[in-house]
Amino acid sequence: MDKLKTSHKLLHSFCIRPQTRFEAQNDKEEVLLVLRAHPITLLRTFINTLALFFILFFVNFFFPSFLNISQIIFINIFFLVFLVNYVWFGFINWYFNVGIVTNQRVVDVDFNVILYKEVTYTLISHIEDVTAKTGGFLESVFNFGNLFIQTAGTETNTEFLNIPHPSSAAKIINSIIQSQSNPHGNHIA
Amino acid sequence: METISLDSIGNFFSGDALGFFFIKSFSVVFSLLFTTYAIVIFKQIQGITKTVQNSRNAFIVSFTFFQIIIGFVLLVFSILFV
Repeated sequence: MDKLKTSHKLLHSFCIRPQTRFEAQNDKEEVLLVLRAHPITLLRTFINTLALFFILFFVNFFFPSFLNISQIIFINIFFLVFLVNYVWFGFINWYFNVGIVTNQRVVDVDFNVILYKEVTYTLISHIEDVTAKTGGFLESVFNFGNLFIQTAGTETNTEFLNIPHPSSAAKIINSIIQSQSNPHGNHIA
Repeated sequence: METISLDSIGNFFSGDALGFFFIKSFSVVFSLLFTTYAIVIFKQIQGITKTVQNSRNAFIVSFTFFQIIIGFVLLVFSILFV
């Protein structure tokens, strides 16, 4: 576990030992892994934005026949602001839907900009099983998938969806579990 | 007392005046909605940046605050110039 070196892959969607903290972090707690969805999942947002931009561009040819100049300027500015916000909304949802693995806990932050925020904390010692699942065309090509962390009893199970390199993440979490159960052993991710 | 004829009301709700009324109301209402949305997003972002803290949060909060300013500019523009 100590041999994990700082690295940031795929637009900070797979970060090892990053400069990230969270609200309920203890003094002795160290963030080892920060996971976000693979950036390719933002592709739909960008395609929609491009399509809407082209619609605006072509509709502008018809505006002068029935709108005055100030109305055309307003509609263009408003639509562009809307498009920027659409991208920003997608980015914020992606950026703050984050999974954090520390040397003591696994933290799952589910954030939807408008609707809700949910933060789930799971102690490493309560983890029973870690499963990485990959399936589908894009998932196979870009190597991303889901990571399911099962806990004992009635506690909430944690899942990180569409994360890059799910099997590497599972390996790191397993090595943390092993180093906790056998603190003097030599378990390296 | 001045009387309002039905013809004048009919003239108002037809042709250019109706189009102008539609564009004006659309622009003011949607600018208000956007400003409200920007304020909600700003408050939400302030909350989430306390939960997940890193060096890029200052930029994200600033950009979100900038959207509130844009919303007010759009509102003023829609009231005065559209």
